[in-house]
Amino acid sequence: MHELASRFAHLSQVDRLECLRDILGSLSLYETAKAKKLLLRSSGEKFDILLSIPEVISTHTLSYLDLADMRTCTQVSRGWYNLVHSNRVLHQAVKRHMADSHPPPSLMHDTSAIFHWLNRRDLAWRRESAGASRVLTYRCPEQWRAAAGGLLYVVERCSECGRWNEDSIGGPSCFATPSTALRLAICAESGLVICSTLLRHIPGILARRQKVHAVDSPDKQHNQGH
Amino acid sequence: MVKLQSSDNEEFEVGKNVAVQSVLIKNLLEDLGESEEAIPLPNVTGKVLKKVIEYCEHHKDDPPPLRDDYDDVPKRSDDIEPWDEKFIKVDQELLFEILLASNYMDIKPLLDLGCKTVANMIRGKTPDEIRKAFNIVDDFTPEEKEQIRKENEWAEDR
Repeated sequence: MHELASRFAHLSQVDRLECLRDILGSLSLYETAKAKKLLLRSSGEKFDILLSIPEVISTHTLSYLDLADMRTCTQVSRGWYNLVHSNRVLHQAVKRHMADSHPPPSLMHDTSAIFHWLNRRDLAWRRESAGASRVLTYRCPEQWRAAAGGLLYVVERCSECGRWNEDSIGGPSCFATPSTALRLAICAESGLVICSTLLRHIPGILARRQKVHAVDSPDKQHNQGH
Repeated sequence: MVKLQSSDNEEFEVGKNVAVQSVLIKNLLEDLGESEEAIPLPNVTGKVLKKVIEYCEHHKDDPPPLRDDYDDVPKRSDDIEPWDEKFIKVDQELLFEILLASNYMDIKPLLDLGCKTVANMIRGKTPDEIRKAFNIVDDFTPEEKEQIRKENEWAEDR
């Protein structure tokens, strides 16, 4: 071993790099992980464990994180950013996130059921004030648009009989940014409920958010479609 | 009994029900039959193998692990048993070695435990806290930071 190190020390810089490249190229998965750990360990006992372990293990580790934590991971370092974006794990998290946060298709034609679904506490909808209305905002998945047939739904409850009446407003004017966002608006007792999403851009590497314009009032929103 | 030999030539004798928790060893025993010779594990040091055996001893009566290949099912990392939690409370160096060994020896429950532990070290932390926990240098340029901020804007509270 010493002889090898001594011979290496006498090589020219170019030959040394060539030699290192050959050595690194012939390492096993296990040896690569060990080499990475040596390189990533600057001082102390802490080191970048996620980048040191083979990608199959780091991917498995990331699969235990939710979308918010994965988003945080992309902000740690270039290596972590690339790791999160270079495998399917982010897409799986988005898929899980969407499965948790959009109504099942069976509810799509039952507006009161949708409203109950929207009001589920575990979905953590955020109430916002938009003009005189009380507004809930949320981001819905792409499947919603498909299920909704590309239409913006406005659902009103009759103040007299309490029945929910569904109305759909078609046309691109209903979508602030048709290629990226969908708003689903529901006139609830407390005001207007708006769901919005960025759809395809969620897992994208170079996503550019296009603002979804706020809707001021239920009447205004409702009138847009007529 | 089955003999296992670590990369630093340390030998361990374990019960067959302990050894076969490793799919690698189970397959070797099935293919080659039982033998007096120690099974060499060139990627696992004695220190790590001892730890792996400790885990396998404790879990020798557990039912075989289920495959969780379902991408749509949220995975949990808050379901670590108290014994496992204590077992995996090790420094990052050993945790790293356990991850590698469990992957190499194909011991899925131990690999899951290691991965859950790392995931729990990440969960709920800010990027700065994660960098501190793993001694990572923030190597983003201001432009890259701005780009990532824009990418993540969709999920930020408005």
